[in-house]
Amino acid sequence: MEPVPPAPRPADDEVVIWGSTRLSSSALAPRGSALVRHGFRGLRWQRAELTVPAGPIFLGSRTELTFRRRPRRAWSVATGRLEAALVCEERVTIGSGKSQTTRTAIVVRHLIEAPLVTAPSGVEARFTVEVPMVAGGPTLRIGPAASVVWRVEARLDGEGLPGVPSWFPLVVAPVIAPAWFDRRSPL
Amino acid sequence: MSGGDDPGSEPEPRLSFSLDGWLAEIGGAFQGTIAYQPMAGESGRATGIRLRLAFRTYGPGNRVRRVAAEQRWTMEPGDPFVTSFLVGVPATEPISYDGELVAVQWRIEIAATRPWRGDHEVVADVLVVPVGGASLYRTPHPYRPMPG
Repeated sequence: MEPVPPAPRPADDEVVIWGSTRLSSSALAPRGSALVRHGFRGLRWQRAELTVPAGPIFLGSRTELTFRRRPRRAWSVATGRLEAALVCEERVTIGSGKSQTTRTAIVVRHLIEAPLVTAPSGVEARFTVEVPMVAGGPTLRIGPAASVVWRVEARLDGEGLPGVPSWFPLVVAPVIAPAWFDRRSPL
Repeated sequence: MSGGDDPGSEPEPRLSFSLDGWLAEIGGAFQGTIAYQPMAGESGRATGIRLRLAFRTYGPGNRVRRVAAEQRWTMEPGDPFVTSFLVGVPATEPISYDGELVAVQWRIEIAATRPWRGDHEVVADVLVVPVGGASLYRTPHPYRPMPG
């Protein structure tokens, strides 16, 4: 069996975060038989990873991210694309004890598509996310009662590629990116 | 604030404060002046002043109220009292926010503490904005920033 080449190391100012899979409220999840097919296909691949800047992301910033997914063993290289979404979700807890429920609302959903670079070592896609100034807010956690969280959901679309979306949490700091002031158009 | 105009009711002391600015960046500070003027014939005299910087959440979820900073001054009962203050907004707390399910509202609460009687309190809503946002916001994030 041919070994898969090692993954590239992130730069000093970058970190790699691993994706998790949650299908219940995903914007990109396949449904029905496609979900089963993609689920089994995903077993042949390692967990998805996203290279992000070390430290928090600022409001109004544009940030370049790199998505990678590596096969567990040699694979027949195929083409495809990345479908991703930048999502901001508000989450509140109502009640307590057995009657406790959670309500969520998606307040930002920016869809992104990016071409894939495929190689024997796996697939890679670079894309840019922009955290808006006028919707959503910085990452917020007020105990279990209320939170505002950001994440990137990403899935691969192509023959032989695992199509189950992966979730990557992002931390957005309550700081306005200095570059936003330069880009700001008159309101 | 003042009160006690009704005949037979006890005159209320005058407790007031002014803020240099009603908006501060997270990690920054609010500053201002507190003035307390006791009234003649006031029975339950205040012995101290308490300042609290606190926020509350609104919306369909469970409400949260948290005091982020507190300062206290003691004073001689019956004497007028004036002081300036500077109260920091901890960088770990949330900014003012107005979302779909949750809103965060900040306020400054100043009370004259009166033993064995209810505190006499005055409050003012304030705004805590992101770092770099002092010149941009007049309403809680995420409303559209003011034109530059």
